[in-house]
Amino acid sequence: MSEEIVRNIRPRKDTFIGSLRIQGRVIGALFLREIITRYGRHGLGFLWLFLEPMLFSVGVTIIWTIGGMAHVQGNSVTMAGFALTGYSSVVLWRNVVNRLVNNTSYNKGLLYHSNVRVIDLIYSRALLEFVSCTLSLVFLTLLFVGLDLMHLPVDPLEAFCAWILYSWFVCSAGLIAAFLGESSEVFERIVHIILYLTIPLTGALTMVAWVPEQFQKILLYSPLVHGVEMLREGYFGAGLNAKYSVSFLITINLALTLLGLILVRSIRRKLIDD
Amino acid sequence: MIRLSGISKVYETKNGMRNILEDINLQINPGERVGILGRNGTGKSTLMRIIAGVTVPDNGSIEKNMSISWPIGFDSGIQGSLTGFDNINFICRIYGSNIDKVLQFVQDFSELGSYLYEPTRTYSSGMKARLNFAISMAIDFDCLLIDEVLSVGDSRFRARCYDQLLVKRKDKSIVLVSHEEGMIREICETVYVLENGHLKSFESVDAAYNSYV
Repeated sequence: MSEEIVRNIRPRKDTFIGSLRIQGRVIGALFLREIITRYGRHGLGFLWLFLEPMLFSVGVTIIWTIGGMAHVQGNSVTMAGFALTGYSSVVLWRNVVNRLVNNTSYNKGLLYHSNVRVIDLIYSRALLEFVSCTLSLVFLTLLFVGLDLMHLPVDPLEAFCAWILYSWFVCSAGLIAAFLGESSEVFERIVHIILYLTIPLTGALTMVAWVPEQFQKILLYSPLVHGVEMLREGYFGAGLNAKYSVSFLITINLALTLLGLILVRSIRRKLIDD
Repeated sequence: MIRLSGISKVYETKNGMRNILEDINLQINPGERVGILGRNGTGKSTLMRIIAGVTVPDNGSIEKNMSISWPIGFDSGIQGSLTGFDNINFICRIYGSNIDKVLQFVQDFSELGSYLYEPTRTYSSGMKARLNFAISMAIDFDCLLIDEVLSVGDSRFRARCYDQLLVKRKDKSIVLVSHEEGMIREICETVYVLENGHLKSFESVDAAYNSYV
């Protein structure tokens, strides 16, 4: 028994696979715990996991459809489809960054179990938001198609890849947000404002091709825009004239992930013990 | 075996830096029961967290080849928002233990009955201590780090703990910290005194007690 436990507790020098197994188990445990803590075991319970982002997207879709806010072109894209792809992306961006900002100090009690590392707290949170937004996006896509509000995605594989690349960017930015949140109280307080101001830079409100050229350049500095453009091309086809670069997105993602991982390593020391 | 060499830890306070631990050397052998006496605020809990790998020391190194529990306090390691049952599930998943076996032991040992299905924030400190202690026993670590927790239990619970620690699991290493000598005298064979950041060892248990008083 005892030997088995020694193997299950992260030792100083373990094989890569052994560490990976423990980390996988820890992240799974944190993931389930987060669901129970956040949604409870009563009422709709974990259904809120995707009801919450879903209701948000539905609300925005209704407002946009009635208000006719986006200037939708061609017959492959509908207002509902445009709002859905845009707002699902906004919700993921907003939720991941918001949730990661004070996640670590809020949950530092969990670090009492030495198997639990700061990075596990971050991964499990980000994973939960990703799963929640993805379920909501898939479910609403099917629902809207069923209600004849939009067509099935033209190129589901492209849409899938776009969503993954976009989520990767969001999570790597989340790593940096987690670090900044622990380092600076100012950042923790103004992150809501920052997120609100970044909404135009998510590319959710318009396609790049629809704005004047001088604004196109600015929009294309934002990796979020590249992700959403690609997602929409996957949904609505090449007729939309989406502008994005996969290699730009991947380069930025790699750089941010590396920087984020380095910064996150220093969080543990910042946490004041009590 | 656990070996701490040259461990030191500094905390920033309003009155400047404070050396809470200075050049601590400590070895814990398999099956050894170590007691650390110290007044409030001398850094006992910090030392425990360093042994457990929760707090990173500023200097020094730790070698360990045993599985070590988390520092078992009143509610460290358990979460108030979760029920006792969910806490057990969570901790078993983290350490990869068999949930049924652990649950069975915790039910018998903690005698919490249907309270196991209530959030632990509604527990009294004695109940929390019972849950925390029972779970850490059931996980079957090689070395248990016990931070005052026994002092809140009633005498029946304490007797059951002694039975576990001294009879049923007497091959386990234990590190027990306390500000009073009572429990340490009952359980530990090696005693240290933590004072002004230094860990003092003594030839005999009685010498340590005399120095402390």
